[in-house]
Amino acid sequence: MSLRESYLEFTALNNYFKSFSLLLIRIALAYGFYGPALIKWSNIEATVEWFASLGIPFPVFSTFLVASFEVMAVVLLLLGFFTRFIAIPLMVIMLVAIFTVHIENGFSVENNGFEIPLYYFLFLSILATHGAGKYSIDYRFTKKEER
Amino acid sequence: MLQTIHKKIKDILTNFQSLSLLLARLVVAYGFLQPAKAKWSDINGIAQWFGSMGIPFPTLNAYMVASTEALGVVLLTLGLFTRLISIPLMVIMVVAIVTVHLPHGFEAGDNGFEIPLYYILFLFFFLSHGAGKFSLDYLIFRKEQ
Repeated sequence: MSLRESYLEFTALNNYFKSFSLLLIRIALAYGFYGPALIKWSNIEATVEWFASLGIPFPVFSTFLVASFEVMAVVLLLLGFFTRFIAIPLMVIMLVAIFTVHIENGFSVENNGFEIPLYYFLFLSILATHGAGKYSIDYRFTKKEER
Repeated sequence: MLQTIHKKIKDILTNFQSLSLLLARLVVAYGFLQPAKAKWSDINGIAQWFGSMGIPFPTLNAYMVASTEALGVVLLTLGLFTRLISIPLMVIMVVAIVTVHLPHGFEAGDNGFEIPLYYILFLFFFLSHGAGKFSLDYLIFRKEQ
């Protein structure tokens, strides 16, 4: 077997892990959104004031919207339910977080930079484009011929 | 009706698969650039640091890790042998978590294992999905795939 063939064999083998890697990403993101969601809901008034101080329009509405999406993210990402659709508003939230809070602190997480929200944005864009994989409710609802 | 819309949106999003892979590859490559540069600028210091953490053959391992990381930056950017380079980089991340970050917990702010964990997830994703269309892998191997 040539080197080229071995490499292609290796490629084909790793394709079996596609859904597993998507599952791991979903679990990590669900855990990542759990903390911020909890903080926002446990003290929603302080979050409203903070949003207002950042110059976000309609702070009360925005706070409830973001806090709701983050709670939904935890549940839906774990289940793999409407994965592509929850990923898009979460990507928007991450962009807003980057541009209102983190961008002036640079990249590195040590200075509260935009490193981690950027990673979340990328994970979410992966989920939006690739879907949730086989280990998900979405997959159960996908028609056989579209799988 | 709703099902048609659902399918349309799904199809549109699916077109951006390779773009999301490209962005993720570039960011992970950038993430390895800093540690790789730091290691090469003071390789003896790194070897001593590895030795102090109880890593066997510290000098050999310092060179190996520094080389793999530098190679990772180049290959992930080009999308060349993406799946292949992902494996040693994942091993490096696991070792980094176990030897350095684990006692600090999860949070990245406390130097926990959050960021190396995210890197493992990105690399595992590259390993299982490949580099996408915007890559040398696609140019070289696409016919057989």
